[in-house]
Amino acid sequence: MNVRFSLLRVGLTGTLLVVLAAILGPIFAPYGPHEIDITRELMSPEMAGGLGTGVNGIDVFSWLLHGARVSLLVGFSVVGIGLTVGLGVGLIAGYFGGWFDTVLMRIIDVLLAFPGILLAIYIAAILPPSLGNVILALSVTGWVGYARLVRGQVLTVREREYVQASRALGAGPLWIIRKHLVPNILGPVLVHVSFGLGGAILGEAALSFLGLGVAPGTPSWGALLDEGAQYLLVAPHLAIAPGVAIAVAVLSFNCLGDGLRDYLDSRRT
Amino acid sequence: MKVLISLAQIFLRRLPGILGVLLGASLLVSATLRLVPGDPVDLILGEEAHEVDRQRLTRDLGLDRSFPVQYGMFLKQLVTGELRSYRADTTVYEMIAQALPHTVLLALLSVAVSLSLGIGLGIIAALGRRRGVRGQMVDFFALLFAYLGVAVPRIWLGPVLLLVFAVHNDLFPVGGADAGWRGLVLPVLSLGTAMAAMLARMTRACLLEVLGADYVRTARAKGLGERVVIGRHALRNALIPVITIAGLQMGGLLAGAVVTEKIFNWPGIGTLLLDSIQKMDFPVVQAVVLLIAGIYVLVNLAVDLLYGLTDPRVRL
Repeated sequence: MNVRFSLLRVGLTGTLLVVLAAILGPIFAPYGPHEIDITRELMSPEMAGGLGTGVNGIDVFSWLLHGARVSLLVGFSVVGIGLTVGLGVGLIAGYFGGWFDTVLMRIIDVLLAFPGILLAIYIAAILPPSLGNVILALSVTGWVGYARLVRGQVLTVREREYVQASRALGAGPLWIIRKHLVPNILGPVLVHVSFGLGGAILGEAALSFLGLGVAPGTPSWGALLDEGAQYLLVAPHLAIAPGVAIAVAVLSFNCLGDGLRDYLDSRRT
Repeated sequence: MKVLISLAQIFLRRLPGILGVLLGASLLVSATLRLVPGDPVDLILGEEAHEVDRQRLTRDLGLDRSFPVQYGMFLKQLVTGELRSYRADTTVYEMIAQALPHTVLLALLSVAVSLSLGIGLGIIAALGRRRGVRGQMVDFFALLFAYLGVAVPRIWLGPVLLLVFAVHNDLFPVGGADAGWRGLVLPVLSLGTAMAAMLARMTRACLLEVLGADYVRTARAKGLGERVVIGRHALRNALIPVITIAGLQMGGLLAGAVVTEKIFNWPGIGTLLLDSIQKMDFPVVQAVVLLIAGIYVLVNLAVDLLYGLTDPRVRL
């Protein structure tokens, strides 16, 4: 890994830090996410120390550490569901084709008619606010990108000579998918996963801001950002901290994605 | 004339597919609305309302019918322009006609700003990279903007812009559409930044790739000036994928407008959608979601057509 892969290094380091914060943060957080002290409500960092306090005197730094776990849980769940469904569906559609492929492409066309997180906003709006429903709302369209990517890759790889040779030697579809297709399409899928993580965290934040996010009281970065925007005039520090946390996390995942792409491209050439 | 005819032919060929997608989208939206907990009749009349009134309103709104009948009624009213809001005494079309121009203005200005900012920055970065230490610094900061612009949440950037430029310095109004062009500056910046960042990154990458191509070297070798080489040969080719991405991003901008309009209290279709969701005004929700999907699908088609026109290798 030389200087060309500094993006990958920055991305890996940032991702590791964010993941560590999510795993260990709640252990080292000075206060619990629901520990309140109304005598210290909305105090700036200069007055309260640390990153200041929020509504009902919650400690912003502690909330951020607890929130890392919730926000990453949303990110990894959305990516996990998207990857599982998208990989399965894309592999079957790409390899076998036929009516399944035709039906799938029409479903994808319909889902792609909704730009950005519009469908997630819509789904989150019609379901009661909860962590599970936020994950569901973001996952409804989350799998589409993976399915399209995997299908496209499979269409290319399945025509390669080694796959045809394998088939000629009598290998079954499951064996070919496991031994030839999956290992060969994993690179671009991993890149997509990195970008998906950042996208899901931004999506959670946007849903929380619209009042369609996690249940009230759940410590997520988006929920804190929503509070920060409401108290912007009296306590601007409340919006700054979660904004920076989200930006750092998304930046790390995006750098990881770009770095991975560069690394995989360089290996290919 | 010949080009116009071929564009019309392509459009007609794609039309059944587009209508199918929109029909599927409308079915999805209508079917999922049934999952909404609560009853719009309760929300309109209040839970204390008399049972007779409740039954009459349920019947008037068609909520006592089966789903296929309700969906058929919705489609019919959508096509004939008779779709009415549950809450306001007006048709959905009138509500959309009031809100849509605000969103279109916001979206178009954001596209214009992000195209000029993003492409400009991408060009400066790509050219700077080849010109000494100062150029490389420019390239570094352009890349930094490109990464930060995508990573910074819109819901953070908007309030921070408000705080700095509307609250601490009274340069722009806090929100609303009554302040003329001054009221547009912050929403446009907030909405356009992410797209500008993406375009800057894309322009830089495409231009760098093209600058290393054989035909650019040939253009230089035959003695053409740098301005002609870059303007006529490199940029023209580098911008084709950039314009495509810009077109595809425009749809995302419409979804982003929902968030931006809430931050800046902008009376567009995003605000109309969120209000209607809150009030369980189903016909408005269905129509607005479909409208955004329709615009998105049409913009994508326009980008495809444009791509076919600019790049003769693409067959549509």
